[in-house]
Amino acid sequence: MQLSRREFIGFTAGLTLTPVPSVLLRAAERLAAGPEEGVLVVLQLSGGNDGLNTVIPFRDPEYQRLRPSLAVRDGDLSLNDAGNASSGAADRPGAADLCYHPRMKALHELYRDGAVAIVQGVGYPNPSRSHFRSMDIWHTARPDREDVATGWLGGIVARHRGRLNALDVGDERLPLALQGEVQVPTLQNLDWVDQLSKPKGREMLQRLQRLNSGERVGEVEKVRALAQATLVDLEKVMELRGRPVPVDYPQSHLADKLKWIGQLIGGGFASRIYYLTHGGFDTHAQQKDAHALLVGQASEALAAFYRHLDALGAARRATVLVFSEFGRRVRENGSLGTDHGVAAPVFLVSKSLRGGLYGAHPSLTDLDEGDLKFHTDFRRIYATVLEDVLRIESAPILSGTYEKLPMFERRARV
Amino acid sequence: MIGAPKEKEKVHPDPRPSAAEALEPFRPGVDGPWDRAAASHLVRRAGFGMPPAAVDGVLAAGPRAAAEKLLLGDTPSSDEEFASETAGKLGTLDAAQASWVYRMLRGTHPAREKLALFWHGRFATSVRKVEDVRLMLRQVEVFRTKGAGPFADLLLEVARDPAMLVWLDGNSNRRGHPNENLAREIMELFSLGIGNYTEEDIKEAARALTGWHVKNDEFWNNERAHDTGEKEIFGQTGKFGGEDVVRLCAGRPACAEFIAAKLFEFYVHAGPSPELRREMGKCYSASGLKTGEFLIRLFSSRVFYSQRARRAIVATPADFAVGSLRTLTATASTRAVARAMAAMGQELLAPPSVKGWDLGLSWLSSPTLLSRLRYAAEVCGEAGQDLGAEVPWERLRAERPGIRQRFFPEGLPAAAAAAAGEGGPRDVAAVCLQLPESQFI
Repeated sequence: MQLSRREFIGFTAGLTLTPVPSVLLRAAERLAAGPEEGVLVVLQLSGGNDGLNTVIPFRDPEYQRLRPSLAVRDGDLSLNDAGNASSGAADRPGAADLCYHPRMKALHELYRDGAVAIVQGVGYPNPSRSHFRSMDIWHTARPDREDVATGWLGGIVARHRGRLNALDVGDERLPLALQGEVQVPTLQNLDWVDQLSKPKGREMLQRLQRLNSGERVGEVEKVRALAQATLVDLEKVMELRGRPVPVDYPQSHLADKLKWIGQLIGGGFASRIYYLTHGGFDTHAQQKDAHALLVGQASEALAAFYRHLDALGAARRATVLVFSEFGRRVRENGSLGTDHGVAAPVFLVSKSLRGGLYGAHPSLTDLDEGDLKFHTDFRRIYATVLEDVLRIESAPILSGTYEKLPMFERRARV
Repeated sequence: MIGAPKEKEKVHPDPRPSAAEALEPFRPGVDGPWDRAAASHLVRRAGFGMPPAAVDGVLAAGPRAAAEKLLLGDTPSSDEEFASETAGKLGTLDAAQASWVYRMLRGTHPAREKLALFWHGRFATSVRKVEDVRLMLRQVEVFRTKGAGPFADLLLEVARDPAMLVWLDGNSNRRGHPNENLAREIMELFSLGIGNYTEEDIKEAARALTGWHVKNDEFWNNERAHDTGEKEIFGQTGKFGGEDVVRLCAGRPACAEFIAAKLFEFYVHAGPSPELRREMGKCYSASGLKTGEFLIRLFSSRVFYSQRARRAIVATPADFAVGSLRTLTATASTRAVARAMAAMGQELLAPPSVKGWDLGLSWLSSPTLLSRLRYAAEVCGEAGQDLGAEVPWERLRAERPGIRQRFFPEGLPAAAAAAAGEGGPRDVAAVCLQLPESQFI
């Protein structure tokens, strides 16, 4: 079983349950993520992030009126200062009236450095307020169809088989976004990888390798070979995980996962798409502290990740896309929380983009059944990262042509 | 013990029974020995894992009586009913999953739970769309109470099950605007299989099913939405309604063959020959499509005990997760077990699509296999505390012939046996569970 230790692509290959021809492996190695190739990291905020308390129209009296207990009143982290945005106020209407959630200081600093783009009022036609349905729509990029079994990222992996790999850094089952003809590997059991790195774990790993030495016959042999390949891959992950990290990450599950992705990108890992989730945003009750904690964690982890990549010289290659399945109702509910809503902002973080605001904040007086109206289809953002980060055609993946947002255009001034 | 060693020379070394003989009763001593390996085979196939007491009981009873006893089972204990009731009251997915794991792990009737799991995979409905845990639990209860009875009754119940009607858009199937979703799946996946009906049959059946709606979480025969006109299904005409669709489907010879083959692939081995499929269809039909009766026949047949069938099925996550604990007479947090099963690719009440879970080697991929290896380590106290496994290690330490025989009563190939060296009970159990051989039941 000759599997590439160098690039870990066997993790994908092993899933087919057949030994991978070494020719393919060599080809894949050659095409492993080079220093020039864009990397997309997708961070899903699960449960419906309250966009209105993330990018906050704090001066809007309507906001203060409809959010008596949840409204943020001070606008210290103003959006009026996106460092490198070139075209001035036209790109960020009303920025002076907007601020970040006060716990998002770390991300705000990146914003001031020009590394954060915020697309406001994102959604899709006939919005669903069901978590599952709306998440499926974001995952498949097909609001018109319910029976789609291929995710938008899974579609890329199948279409660019062997040349564009993805990795799910999840805890649970593979998200629909990554599903498709080619099974995308999931690196779950992060803590187990850590345990295996310890002396007792090393013993176990050695035992597992011993158990899987010696050929068997028939299907048992296939399972043995898969286990063997998996263990080889696991060693590669552990090796990359042992690499020094030049920045301090905060203490959180999300930060751990981003740190790992940083190590993999820095180690020349073959994947160009990474997927991870940050859950708990379904804040129907007692929202204030819970939401502050979650957005604070995301902000600090993303900032650490950015500085990690920057220290490795990879901050231009990688782009993080942060989305949630929907925003929340404008008016807070009777349980000091908010219910499922519609339009919300999407964040992108990269050294290669043009930071600032894209699109206006949705009106708080012109609502759709109590919810913010969307004006930017999320598939425009997908088209942007497909074309400008991964540099692939977006139309076949999105089943249509969507106008890109101009965030990766060469800057007018340097 | 039947099949004593002196009769050994008469034992057929590798019986490959013909299709006609395959379903004949297994003759201990003639078709193969009736020993601990054979009894364990029945116990882990009919239920989950190989608890020594269950193996002892089966060994003493003999193949036919054991199959009858396993299928008949015992009435649920008050604990089991409490678990299901509590899950219903809580209405959360993890409580519902945990309650089902509880019944597999500690219930009085594992064979019923295994059969319910089979039907859950066949009539695969997901909470992801139904979005109501109580409706899902009610559907599983249908599998429990009707799963071993006549298939036509089960199919009728399932076709009118509120969760199923939500899942397959029953409410949008109205006179003049038929929605074919339910009609198509009844024929394609639930009773006949592709090739045994026409697109016209589906269109007409969809009309017959118009008005089968859900209202206030109950089945509602909405007569105003029902198309009362004539329909033609399988060449028969009439002013058919939903019951007629079910009756017509269940009455087709293809239905007996299709469901019997699915049962066979779930319980015996993959890829039965066309001749065997036909034989099974006849046999299932002759029983009046009574699934329990058919399974008793299957579980005491020559083909079931043939070498081809032994260890021929890839353990499902339920087999691996629940079975490992039962073989060790252990317990664990049922929520954690349900979560572990999800990591292995089988999230209860949330199958990936209406086609259910694919069986066989597709269960195993790098991450799902890693999840199984990790689970084994957790059971044996080598990794993590979340599972909360309680294993009677002291009792196991004293046990002879030992843990390896619990897991592999038929013995191990030399390479595997060499890997499974001696050690304390935890080491031996961990090795046994992490061997590739353990992925097969």
